[in-house]
Amino acid sequence: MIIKTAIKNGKKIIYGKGTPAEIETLNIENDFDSVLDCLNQIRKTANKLFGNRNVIKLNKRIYGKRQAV
Amino acid sequence: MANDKQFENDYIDFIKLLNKYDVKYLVIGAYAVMYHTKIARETKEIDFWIEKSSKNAERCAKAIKEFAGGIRINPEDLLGQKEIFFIGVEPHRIDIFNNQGKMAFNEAYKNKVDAMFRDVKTYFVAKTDLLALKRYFYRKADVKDLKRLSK
Repeated sequence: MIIKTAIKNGKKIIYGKGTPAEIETLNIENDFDSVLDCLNQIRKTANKLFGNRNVIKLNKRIYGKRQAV
Repeated sequence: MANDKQFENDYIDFIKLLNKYDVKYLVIGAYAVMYHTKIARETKEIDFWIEKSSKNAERCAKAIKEFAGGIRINPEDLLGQKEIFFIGVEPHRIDIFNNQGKMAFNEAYKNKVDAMFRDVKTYFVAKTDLLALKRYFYRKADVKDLKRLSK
């Protein structure tokens, strides 16, 4: 795998090439807390991109049972 | 950031209550995959597998009532054949299963992993059992999870 870094407009950009499995190794976090932080960041970005910022809470008023697949 | 973590705090509150009422549970699904692989992946819910017994269902119903005051729940609601009890809607939902294919809860519970979800003690399904569940269900997402878990 080849990894390179560059700085564009003050932002650090990491790029390179490798097999999908090699690239995935870059996504491995150090611990579960970091995984949760990363998940929060993914959701934050998705909310920003798709504008569904109102969905940030678990709606406790909706509950029930459904059939398992 | 506090708002962005609201759903996470809801999950943590729920786990605290499961612990408080001594519910026999295991975190399965995407959060267990993330715990074992240390790779974040988008998910629309957190999955819990509880022991299918009236005593445990009673404890879990107490936890659910305290978690969401308005909920009317009988322990029997958690014991239905092939039924999932849920709280909330996607993308932030709690799913409670009482069954996971052919795997016996007590066997999986013996192998459970004692871990921390932020600062809360949480029981995750063991990696070997999670792999077995993923192989059993083999849905689209399971295939991807299996690749990650097998590394």
